[in-house]
Amino acid sequence: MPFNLAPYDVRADHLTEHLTAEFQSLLRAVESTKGFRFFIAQFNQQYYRDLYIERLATVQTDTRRVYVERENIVDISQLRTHLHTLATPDAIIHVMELNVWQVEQRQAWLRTLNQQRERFAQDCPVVLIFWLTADLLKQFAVQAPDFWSWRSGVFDFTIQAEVDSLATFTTEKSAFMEQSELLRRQQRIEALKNYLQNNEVRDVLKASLLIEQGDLHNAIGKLDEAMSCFKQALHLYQELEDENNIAGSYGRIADILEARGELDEALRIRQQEELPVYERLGDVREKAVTLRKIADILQAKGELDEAFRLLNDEALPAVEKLGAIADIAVFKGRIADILEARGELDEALRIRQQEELPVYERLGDVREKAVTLRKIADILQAKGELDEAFRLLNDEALPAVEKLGAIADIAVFKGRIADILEARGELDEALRIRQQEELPVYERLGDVRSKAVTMGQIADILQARGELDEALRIRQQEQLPVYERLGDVRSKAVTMGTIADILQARGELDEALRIRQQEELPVYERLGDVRGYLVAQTNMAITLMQFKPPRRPEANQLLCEALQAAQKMRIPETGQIRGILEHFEMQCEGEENSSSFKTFPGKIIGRNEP
Amino acid sequence: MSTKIYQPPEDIYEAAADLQFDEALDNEDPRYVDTLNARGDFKVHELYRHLRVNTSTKPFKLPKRLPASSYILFCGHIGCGKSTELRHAEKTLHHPDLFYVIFLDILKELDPNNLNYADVLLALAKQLFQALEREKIHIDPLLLANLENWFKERIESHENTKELAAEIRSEGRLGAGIPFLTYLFTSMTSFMQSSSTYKQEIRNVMVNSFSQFANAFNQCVLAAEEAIQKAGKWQRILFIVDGTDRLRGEDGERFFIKDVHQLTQIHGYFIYCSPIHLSYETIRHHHSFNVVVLPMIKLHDRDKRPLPHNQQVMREMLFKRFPAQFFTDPDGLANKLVKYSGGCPRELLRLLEYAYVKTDKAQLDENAVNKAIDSLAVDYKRILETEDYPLLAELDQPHQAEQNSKRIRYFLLNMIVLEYNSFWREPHPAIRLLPAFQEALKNAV
Repeated sequence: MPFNLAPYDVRADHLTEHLTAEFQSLLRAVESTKGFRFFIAQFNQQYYRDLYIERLATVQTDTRRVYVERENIVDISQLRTHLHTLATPDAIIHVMELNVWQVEQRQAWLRTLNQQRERFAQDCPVVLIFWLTADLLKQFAVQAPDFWSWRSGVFDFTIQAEVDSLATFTTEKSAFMEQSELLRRQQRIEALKNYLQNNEVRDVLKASLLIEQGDLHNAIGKLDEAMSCFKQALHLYQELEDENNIAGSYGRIADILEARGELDEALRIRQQEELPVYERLGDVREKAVTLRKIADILQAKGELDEAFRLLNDEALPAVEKLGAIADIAVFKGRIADILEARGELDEALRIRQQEELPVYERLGDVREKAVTLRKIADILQAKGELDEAFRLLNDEALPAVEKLGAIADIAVFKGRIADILEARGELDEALRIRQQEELPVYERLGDVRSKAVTMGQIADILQARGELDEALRIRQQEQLPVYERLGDVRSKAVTMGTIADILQARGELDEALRIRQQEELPVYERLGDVRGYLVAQTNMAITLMQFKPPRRPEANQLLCEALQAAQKMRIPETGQIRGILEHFEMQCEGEENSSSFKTFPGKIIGRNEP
Repeated sequence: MSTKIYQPPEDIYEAAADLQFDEALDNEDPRYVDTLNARGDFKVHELYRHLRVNTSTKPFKLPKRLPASSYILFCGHIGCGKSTELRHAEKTLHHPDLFYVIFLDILKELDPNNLNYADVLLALAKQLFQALEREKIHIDPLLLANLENWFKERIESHENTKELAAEIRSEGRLGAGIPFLTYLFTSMTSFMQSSSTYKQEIRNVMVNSFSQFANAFNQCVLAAEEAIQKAGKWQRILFIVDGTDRLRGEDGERFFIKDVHQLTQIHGYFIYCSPIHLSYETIRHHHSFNVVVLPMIKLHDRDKRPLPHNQQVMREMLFKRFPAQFFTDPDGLANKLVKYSGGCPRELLRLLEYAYVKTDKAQLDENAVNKAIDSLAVDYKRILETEDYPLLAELDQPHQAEQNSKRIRYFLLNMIVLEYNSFWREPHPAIRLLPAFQEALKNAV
């Protein structure tokens, strides 16, 4: 069998040493083959299995891979037929995932394999490599002795280190999942863990690998594990007195706290642990980035003016002085975010179109350009220009990220399209996108938070269609447990608020009021989330007005407090609260009815987002 | 580093042919003269101290606990001997108890007329993996995987670099590991030099994925340091980047000011050669850098008292390049040439070159030397404005106040003003011959 074996200097190959010899033998073995040859490769870590398959592919381009599970091959006959279709003259076929056939079925399929030995050889006149774990290999040798006797070689790609269930081949996950980013990340986490367990490494490398592990945990929503890694890394960097990385580790810890809604603690860390280090080191850029992140927290807390001041007067001038145009664009984008939150849509739109977009175009940064287009579409949607927003998203932004193959971005962008469809009243299509195009991606990525948020959006649509029971079930059974597990108190409070909305719509006013009083408001108060608090106050006032008789004085007081806070923050909710006051014919001290918001929507108008 | 075997010149023509301005001398070259003791307070130990080298032991050692990173700007006037000293440092520091030194000379590897941080970092990656391959250092593939993934995700899947990636893949024999990474970075560096389109595309990819690249590369550097330590070969890796002091105008500002953050995102031990005027700007923006200035050789002290030992060092340098038999009055003319060199080795070579050109005889005489000094003075006159002379006269006063204006930085860059040490600066001695300067000096007094 002719192989195009390019020169391969195995001596120079820096593999894990004992595997190098095996790989060399395998190379030599496949080089001299002709017709049907059957090899077995034993492995215990999928990472290394894939690595060596890939390496072999670099010298033998006609490499085929058969994944029994993900290709839904249910028995040996189907496997043989499938192999036959792939058996071009110079091919090497790797057969994987044979573990899919559960232990109880193994005897049967091994027997069949044994019986079909000659047919395999006849139908597949190529190099076949079966990748087997140790237990399966043993069974194979014992229960398919005839097939076993035709083996041309057994190669051991077992990593000597101890491995746990995730690193070994597992059939617990679906085939599709295995292919996914989630599994890649999980495998990387396990590989890093094993490496650290089985190698004596310097603290500086250990800390760096812990940070990588933490980042991976964070990306798949395992915040506790991520936090633990970051804290261990922080400890090591403190021992090493590595100030820069101490600040970096604190920054990551603050990111997690922020994701959980623990805004005050995140803010404290940014202000007291991160910022002083960068000031001391004279690292102007990192200081500016930290100020930007502080502004993000202030924005989340509803302190828009202070966030704007910090960004506009401190962080932006610093990066402008450094002259890095990409940074400047990012910082201006954040300013646009705040303007958008304040309802200053035209100025936000101008910044996005004239100051952000051209920079990303100039830098050739396709993703950031697409993200900016998506944000422009958000503003257009807020301005009521739904058709143009839809066009921008669907015709420009989405194709760009599709071209990049960034599946998480694609899901997010489709989610935005669903938002617009929802706003246009096309609820069925919006629901279809959420259920069929967004949700499966987050599941595959293991992004539990985004999945929970999407479930919430599905519940919104069901609620709008009057399917209150199913909406309530989703909130209680699919969303809440996730936020509880993540320790995200703010998102939990927001979800409790939406549960109260449903109960209110069903007339269960006492329970709705209890939730607002005991499970929503105190959380926003504790977190220092001013905007969240005033929105919750407004909603509570509306609940109070549903009682018979309406509890007017309490509602009036809540609305006036909310109005005062909203005015101070200069956010669009000010007009909405005025409209509600007018609707209920209420007044606040020193306040005249001057709202143009004449129509009370009859339902909760303010909305907190998880 | 000089590669040819040096032969002493037999006549003035051979001596002149050997006056190469851009040749940094190896310390084993017969023409090399140790000038460090003649550079005032500057001690090469200052450089080693920033690298945390314990110089109290023989051989030098590194302490067990070292900071994660150290960034040094090694700066000095053009032609003051930076490259020569860096090569000297490379020899000293490349030692089992110290560093594995990776020396990147951008003048040889890259295009200094169009250079940014991406080019330099890719070239450093190339040098690193070449060194690891050469030294047969084993690194677990797990620790290289992120860099391989960076290539897969950012170069192979990027619309504009797909073709380039395919070319690299088709030539690159191996799918992974150090050999592949060596091939990858060698190819990328080479493509960047041969095609301006690829250069821009690769730079774009670097800009867009810099964090990913930096994290992956940092992991490789840490893993490489771990491996060389375990192999008992060296303690840490030190990157020396020479030639970045040649960056001019926008390139220089971009590299040392606007993009300096990117340089510090790559963790480790680095010495960058920097133009003297930009070093102050860099530290103003980024305190992570330590600045080590290689001063001129001091020919006299701040109070104008001559320093005969230092002058002798310059004379020695001169006669090793241009032996005494090629002068009509070796001592007298050598003293004059040394005086007007201002203590700058390259200025000394330049004066020799000018003097050689100004005569058609077999020896340099008084007339040729004077003409050479006049020519050098006129060179400076060309780049000075009328309003510069009063400022220069002010700088000529002993113990003048420290100044760091834009114009002073211009003077430093162009060697109109020479820095000796600790902000002691003087106008170039050739400028003293200009009537406008003499006039300004009278007014200043």
